[in-house]
Amino acid sequence: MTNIILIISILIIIIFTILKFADFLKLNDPELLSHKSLDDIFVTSKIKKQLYSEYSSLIHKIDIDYKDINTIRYKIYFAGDWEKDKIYDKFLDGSQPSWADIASKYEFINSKFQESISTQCLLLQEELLTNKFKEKLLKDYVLLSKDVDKFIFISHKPNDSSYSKIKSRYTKVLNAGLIDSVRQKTAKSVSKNEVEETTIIGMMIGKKIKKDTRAYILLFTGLVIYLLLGLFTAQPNLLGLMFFALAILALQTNQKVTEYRIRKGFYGTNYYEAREIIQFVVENSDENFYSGGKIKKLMPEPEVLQEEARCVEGGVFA
Amino acid sequence: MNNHMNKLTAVFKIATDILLVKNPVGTSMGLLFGVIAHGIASLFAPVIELTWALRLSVLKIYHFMAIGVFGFNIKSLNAKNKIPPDVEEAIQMVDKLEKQGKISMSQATLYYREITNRVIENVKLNNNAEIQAELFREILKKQVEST
Repeated sequence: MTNIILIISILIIIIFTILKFADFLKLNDPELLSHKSLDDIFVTSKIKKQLYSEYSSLIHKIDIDYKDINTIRYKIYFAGDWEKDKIYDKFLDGSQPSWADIASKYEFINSKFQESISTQCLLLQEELLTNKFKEKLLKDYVLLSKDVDKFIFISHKPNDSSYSKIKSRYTKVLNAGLIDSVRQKTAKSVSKNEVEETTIIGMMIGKKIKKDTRAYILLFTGLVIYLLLGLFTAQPNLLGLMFFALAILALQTNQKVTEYRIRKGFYGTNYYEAREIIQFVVENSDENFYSGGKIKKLMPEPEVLQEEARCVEGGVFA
Repeated sequence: MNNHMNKLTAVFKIATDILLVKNPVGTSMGLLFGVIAHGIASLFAPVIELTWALRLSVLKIYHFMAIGVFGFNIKSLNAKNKIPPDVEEAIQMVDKLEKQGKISMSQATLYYREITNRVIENVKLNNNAEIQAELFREILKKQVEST
């Protein structure tokens, strides 16, 4: 029984270290990022808007008579009877056209035009997605992620310069997944409300990361001391390994689950988590809520229609 | 599928939070304390057993660990866990309605979002937090401008 527990706990610790390093490698390598599809890196409306603007600027360079077709379309659409003659000379070699004929011509031209445009667009899309555009996106993403890392590792006193490279390195190794999720969250936020929410969540995660790294370091030093003490005792009891493995497993699952929830956008959509966020905000606020400070009211007070009970003589309410 | 994963991960998160992540430093400190205390106790075990007639070998390492974890978490048991009663009431209301089945899960998430957003809008952050928040906003602005 003890052997099984021992093996399981050792396995847990080994798997944990492997997972941590895998996350860390993913975090730093832009080459590994480029193997992902674009949708994995950015699923934002911002990026899509940019794509469309680039399309439209490039479409003007396409070698089809964009303007000519458009003017013809315009003429057909708005032409009165008196202009009919001029137009059908162009299309129908002198024969007498009816309006139906012109309309069919128009449709034909229109469909041709759209086909050509769409094929050109597809070609452009492929080019953009494969080469230039992806590189640009990756560069932006790497720049952004560096900024986010700075933000996460900054201490509460902004002028404090004790933050060293080694410290950042091991915090990164231990919390790579969470950092990545915060990066993605920042990349996705667009509207004003979302920006506010991500700032709060980012601050929470920054605090959590500091706590967790301390916990990890303490756990590992404890493990090492435990194993060293085991060498010197006559009957080493390796059951204590299980507790360390359990603690490490719990921390790891907690980190992974929060990471997943932030990535999917589930975070804060829960009684418990909403309370957590609000509590964080209240703790970091200017006013002291516990001793008489008040928050502004969440909702405006409802207008209560007061029906005045008329009192009729004799104690009867009407 | 998404709803199921949402619920499942929420359960895992709450469970592990209660286990140790509310105060991870304290818990891991307790474990370390357990190891060290066990070592010292087993060092002095013969002396203690001779002088006071106590059987120290009964105390295994997990007893020491339990003592350590409990001792280091006493502070967080008494920690203030309060949020303004106004907000508390609103959140509890949403939770209650969701459990009764009067609103769907997606509606409940919307309500939670709105309540947290309103609190964030209405509260003034203190100095340190405000500096941090501004840093983050700058990062986001840069991101928006570059695209």
